[in-house]
Amino acid sequence: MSRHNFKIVLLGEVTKGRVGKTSLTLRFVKNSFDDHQQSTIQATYLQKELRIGDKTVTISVWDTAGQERFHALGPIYYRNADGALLVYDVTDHDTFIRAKNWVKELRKVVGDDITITIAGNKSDMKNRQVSDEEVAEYAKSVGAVHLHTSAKANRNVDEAFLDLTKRILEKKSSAPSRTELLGKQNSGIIIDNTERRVTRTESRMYGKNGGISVADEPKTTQEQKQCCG
Amino acid sequence: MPKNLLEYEKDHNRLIIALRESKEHGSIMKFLKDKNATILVPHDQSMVLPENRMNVEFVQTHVIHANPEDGLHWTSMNGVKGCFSENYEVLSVLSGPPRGKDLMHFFENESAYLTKSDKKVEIKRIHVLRDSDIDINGTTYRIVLISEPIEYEGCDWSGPSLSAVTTPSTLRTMFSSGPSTPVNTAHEEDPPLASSSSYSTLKRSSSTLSVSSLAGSESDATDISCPPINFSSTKRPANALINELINMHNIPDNKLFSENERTQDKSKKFSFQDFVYKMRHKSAIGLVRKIKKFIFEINRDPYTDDVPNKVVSFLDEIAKEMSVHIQWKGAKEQELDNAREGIEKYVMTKIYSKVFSPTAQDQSQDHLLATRLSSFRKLKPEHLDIASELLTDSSCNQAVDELKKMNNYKTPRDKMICISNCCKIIFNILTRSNPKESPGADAFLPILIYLVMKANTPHLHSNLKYIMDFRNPEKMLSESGYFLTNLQSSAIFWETVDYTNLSINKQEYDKLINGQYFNDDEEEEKNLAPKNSVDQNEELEKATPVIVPDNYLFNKTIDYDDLKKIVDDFSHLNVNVNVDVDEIKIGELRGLFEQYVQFKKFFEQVSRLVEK
Repeated sequence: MSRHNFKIVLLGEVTKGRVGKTSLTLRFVKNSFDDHQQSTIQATYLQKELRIGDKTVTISVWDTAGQERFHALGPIYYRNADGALLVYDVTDHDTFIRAKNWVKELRKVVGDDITITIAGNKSDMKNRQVSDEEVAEYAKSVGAVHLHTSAKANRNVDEAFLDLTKRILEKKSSAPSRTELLGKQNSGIIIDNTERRVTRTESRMYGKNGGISVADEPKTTQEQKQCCG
Repeated sequence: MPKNLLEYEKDHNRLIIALRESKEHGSIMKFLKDKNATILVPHDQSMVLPENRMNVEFVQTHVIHANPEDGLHWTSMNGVKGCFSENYEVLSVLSGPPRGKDLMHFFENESAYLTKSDKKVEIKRIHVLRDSDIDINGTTYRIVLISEPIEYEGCDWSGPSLSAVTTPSTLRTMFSSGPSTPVNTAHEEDPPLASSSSYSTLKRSSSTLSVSSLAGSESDATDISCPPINFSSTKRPANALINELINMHNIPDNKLFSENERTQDKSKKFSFQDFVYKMRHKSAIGLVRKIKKFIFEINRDPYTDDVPNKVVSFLDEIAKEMSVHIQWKGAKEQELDNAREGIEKYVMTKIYSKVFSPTAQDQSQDHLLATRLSSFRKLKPEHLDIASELLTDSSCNQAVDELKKMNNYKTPRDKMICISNCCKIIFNILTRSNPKESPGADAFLPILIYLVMKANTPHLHSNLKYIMDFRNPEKMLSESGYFLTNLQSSAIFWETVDYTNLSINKQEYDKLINGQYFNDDEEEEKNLAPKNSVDQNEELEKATPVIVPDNYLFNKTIDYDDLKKIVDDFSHLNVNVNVDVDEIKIGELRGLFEQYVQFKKFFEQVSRLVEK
């Protein structure tokens, strides 16, 4: 059994309000939302062990400060990151714009090695400002996965982290086992011409929705859990 | 405890050696044989002995005879009474020796033994570590290895009566006034710098020590390790490295391993002592030699940019060798981790002065950053949108102290512990002000940034660089690695900040930051003077008297800042002048010449300043 230790950075704008990245992490790690928990732990660095198939993966989630004045400090945190979870607020379009800028920056600083998930948080709220089509198209164009999450309603929180971790794992293990990969081509794994491996999860998501929004389709996430597990 | 503890003690324990080798204990040996007595052996590191010999009283106190009626109760040869707990895990000392009796006939009197019905006033509880047999000069005796010597009121190996004769207790006194640690963020260890600087005092006090202590002693012959406490060091297979390890580590009191409760990896306790025990074993001699050789070479050769890589690969290599070494056979992951930590601690302490802030560029960057941080000292928490009441909390000072203290530690790990402590104090502050919400980075980072400015840690740039260069890379993904990253980003924030990054308008910014030199009142003038770290002061003391008398300099109107800058630039010069000329080795000449050149430069710069 192999062991892995992945670093995931958590990015989210702070302007008028918060996008809820802290609640999201806390929900994931403690599986409890802020309303009820009495907690003394900090939510800036969290570690959790996940079982993915026969692999044990430890992920360290690094929170970053979202204030505009600290944006220049980002690269210090991205260094050696395997994944990034970009959180925006579905009720605030500006935070989505900011998330897009982050994607650009991540690609510039870390390159294609970093696996990105974009999470539209507060998806339990009615007054959405960001349309599903917009995000789906955008996510697809940058090779990221998009999910609608709600820390409050505990929707898609585990899935967001789990899916990100799986994709990191797949990306990491694809390099040494290319031959194995080629052998499996028939079973539905696609290798695109830039040799980037499109995961089963991704390909199905792309295929099904033309976009990648899984937020309101719990069924899809269920399957997702099994497919790599 | 390591598996080999008992074997180690059998070979090295000074009490056992004394019984084995010393003729003066003949009567004790006879007693042991006749009475079928047991020897209580305080493990070697716990013994601090009066002067350089094994005191007869001390030996007699540790030779015990069990009550034939009740195996748990015992009386020592000089009549100290005590008992074992039912499970033999603990022993209690119940009363001191009778005075003025003929001790050799003590056991012939029935009242010599305690019984269950006796009234017991416990004097001391001691842990039983091992129970075994030992062969001394052909006879087998039972030994019980215990955690510390038996003491009673008035015995001359405990308490203040020692301080007059032994260095360790003097040191212990020094430590009691040492830096205290925050309540909920206890350090796992006592300050290594403090302990090793005390150790250097110790070294200097002994006339046989050579300048490069360990570095020069590639063979076992150069025994630099014999501080007065090792009364039998001439007989023991003296191992310089190991003795140093122990001295470095053992002198501070038992708080050594008190674990930081809030540390996430609670199970991963770091025990330097475990490491030391293993390294003391004969089988580890190859490793020890290799380590010594490496340290010697690093200290000998000029510093180059690939030194950090070299050091880290060496530490990894040694850790790898340890993992297959017989001493670590069957060791769990945590023990191996412990070994890696141990070797890092040891090597880094030994090469610290060489590799910390190694270049002139580092020193000037330190200076620039310190000046810059100092220029922002008038900023208020509001300028970073921190609710100002948060920082009225008294624990802010603690957090600042932790940051400052970082500079006083020598190992990357210890420095990182300071950083983590500071961060945890900040979390406490945040949680106290808002118990419902777990603080995230949005709330945390501004406070850290603000406190970094307030602390203005001496050599901040160099400290950060040193940790990044030398800390075990595997530890960088941990929580403390995260905190380190935050400290780095705080430093970078201050390096690049201007009014656009702050909640302040340009006019006010100019007034506060750029106009400060004109508006300072006297008290602030004092703050403006660059903050001196303890070690800088030490360097100053070491460096200046040789060149120019202090008061001569200051009576003239010399720009203090200029002078301070020069002193800062040369503060890395760490010269031990208490050297016996005859002991200087050829390999050290290069280093000495370099120091000479540095001193010449220093002198020239100071002279230029004086002439100006």
